[in-house]
Amino acid sequence: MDKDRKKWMAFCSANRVYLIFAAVFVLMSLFAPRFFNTYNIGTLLGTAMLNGIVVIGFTIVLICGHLDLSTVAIINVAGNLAIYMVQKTGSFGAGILAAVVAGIVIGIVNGLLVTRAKINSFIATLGMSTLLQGLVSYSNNAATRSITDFTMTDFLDKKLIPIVPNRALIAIIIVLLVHFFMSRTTMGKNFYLVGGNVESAWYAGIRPEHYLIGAFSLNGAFAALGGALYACYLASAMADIGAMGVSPLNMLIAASVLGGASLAGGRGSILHSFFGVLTLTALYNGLTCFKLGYEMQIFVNGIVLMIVVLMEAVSLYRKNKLAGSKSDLFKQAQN
Amino acid sequence: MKKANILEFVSRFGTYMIVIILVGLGCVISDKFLSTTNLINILDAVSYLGILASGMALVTYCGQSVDLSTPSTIAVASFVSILTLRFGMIPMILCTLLSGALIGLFNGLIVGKFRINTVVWTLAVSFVFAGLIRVIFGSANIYVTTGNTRAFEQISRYRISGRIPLGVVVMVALMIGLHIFVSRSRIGRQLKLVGCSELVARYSGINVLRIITLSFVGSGMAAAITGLFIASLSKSACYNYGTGYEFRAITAVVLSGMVLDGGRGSIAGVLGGVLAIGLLNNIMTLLGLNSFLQDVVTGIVFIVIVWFTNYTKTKLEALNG
Repeated sequence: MDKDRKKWMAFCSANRVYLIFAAVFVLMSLFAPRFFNTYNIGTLLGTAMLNGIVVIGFTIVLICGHLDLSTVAIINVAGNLAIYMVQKTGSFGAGILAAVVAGIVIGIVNGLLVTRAKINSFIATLGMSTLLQGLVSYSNNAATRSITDFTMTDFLDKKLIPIVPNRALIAIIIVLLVHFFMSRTTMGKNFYLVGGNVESAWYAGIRPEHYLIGAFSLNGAFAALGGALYACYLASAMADIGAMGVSPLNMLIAASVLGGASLAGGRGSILHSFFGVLTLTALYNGLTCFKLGYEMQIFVNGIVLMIVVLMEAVSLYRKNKLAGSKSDLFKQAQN
Repeated sequence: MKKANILEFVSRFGTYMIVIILVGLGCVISDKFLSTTNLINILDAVSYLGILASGMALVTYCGQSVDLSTPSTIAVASFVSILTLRFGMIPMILCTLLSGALIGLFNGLIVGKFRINTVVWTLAVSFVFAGLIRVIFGSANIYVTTGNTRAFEQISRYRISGRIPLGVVVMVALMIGLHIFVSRSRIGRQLKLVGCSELVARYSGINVLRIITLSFVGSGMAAAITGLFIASLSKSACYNYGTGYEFRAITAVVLSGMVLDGGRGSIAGVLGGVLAIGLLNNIMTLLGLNSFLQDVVTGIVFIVIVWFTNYTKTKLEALNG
């Protein structure tokens, strides 16, 4: 009986994000008006595109035990650069390519600041964020750039398979590919090793600094890809996407923590983080169905994050408190 | 040995060297720079930031990285101050301070007890309170209508002997008080020990939970004072009055030579960090730089200074073995 319960608990904690997602989805379908229909679910999946792609890189950096505060600034740089390139060359491919290259370069600089200059990632990326945001705002005097070419919008809105719009399909394919890379290949697993214990990673013959630079540049690449695709979809790019409603940074942190990533590093999964994004998007979408504005979204975002973090911390606290006590040793002996 | 002395000097007084360099630069750039009006303006521009940063420095000093709940605390305090103004000035100030202290207490107890990552927890608290205010007041501003409106406005506008703004006096007094408290008192030394090594602190019989809670209460109250000043300046309260202040305060704290791991630096250094930000902004404005370009320069200077501080620290550690 006790063993069954333990198994059940382990299952629950391993698949926490799926259970929360299912709960949110079912509750919203039951109670929120006009939530459960193909049109709204398509919209929901489409809305998750930007954060769904960006969260990939964000989670990889978290797995390495670092935090990248410049992610939102990279999204803005990428969006503006992509729209600018489309204005100049008329080709969406050139715009997205330029944005991704810029993202990778920014990521490498971040990585070098953290590994070579040995600056705390929180501080280095904070400075980087101020710098980049200033550049973006300066380049167009904080105005929104826009184009009148809507071919990309039409393409991303089309549905190659029913219900799922193309932009969601792209996000899902990228998430699955990177998830496979991170969980099945040696190189992907090394990221976890670097985040879990740098020293033992070094002893295992891994160069931690290479992986850190890799993680930051992957974050730059995915943030830029997400930002560029989103800007091309809207056919416009704001100077600061974070100034409107729920900032992507808040969403990213909440989603990845919901998906089991920790700021201490070594934990997290791309697929879980993606489901974290889906859960929060479904929650926001449902709240909008109730005609509640983003005031409520910010509040609920906070409550969800608070509960998840608190639950995790309390269980760890209990475990630590019992560790080494008579009842704990007894339990260990029994297993 | 000589090299070690120089490095030691740099790592200890680095912030003030930046301040001196910036003052020198300012004198070269404009003859108006050294006028009393300009100097007071520099102080006035950073006084709210200084008040906030001195509180947040306690949290950093105590080894709890950063308190990101300050923007919401500022917003909550601004609402509390305007809503309680009808009961008179003294009760209003007490209630405002209490609101900040309560948020700090909540943060401190949870973080101290369950050892949650401070960044994530304070961010969550920030969403909750910002969301709560926005839900209750519908994202709208509220304005001063009842109570002693004139006195409330004067909080941010009163100048002692017609020159020095009250905010500057509060900032300097708070910094001096906190500096003496942190460097001379028993609790101050306990703060440093908890910041250096929590385990050692715990084994030497220090009530770690109490010390951590105290640092967060300090940070919350400092944010509440900032909120009160901002509310008085704009004669209104709004959910976004604290936005951006947290990162500027972190910049000031980091420039002061405090490291996010805690236990290093001093509150006097924070004054240096705040002054450096003020001087940099002032010089760039005197040069007529676009405000977005000012952000770019601030970002670069920030990274370079942190890099340099880190460099001297690692060299120093290498020399000391």
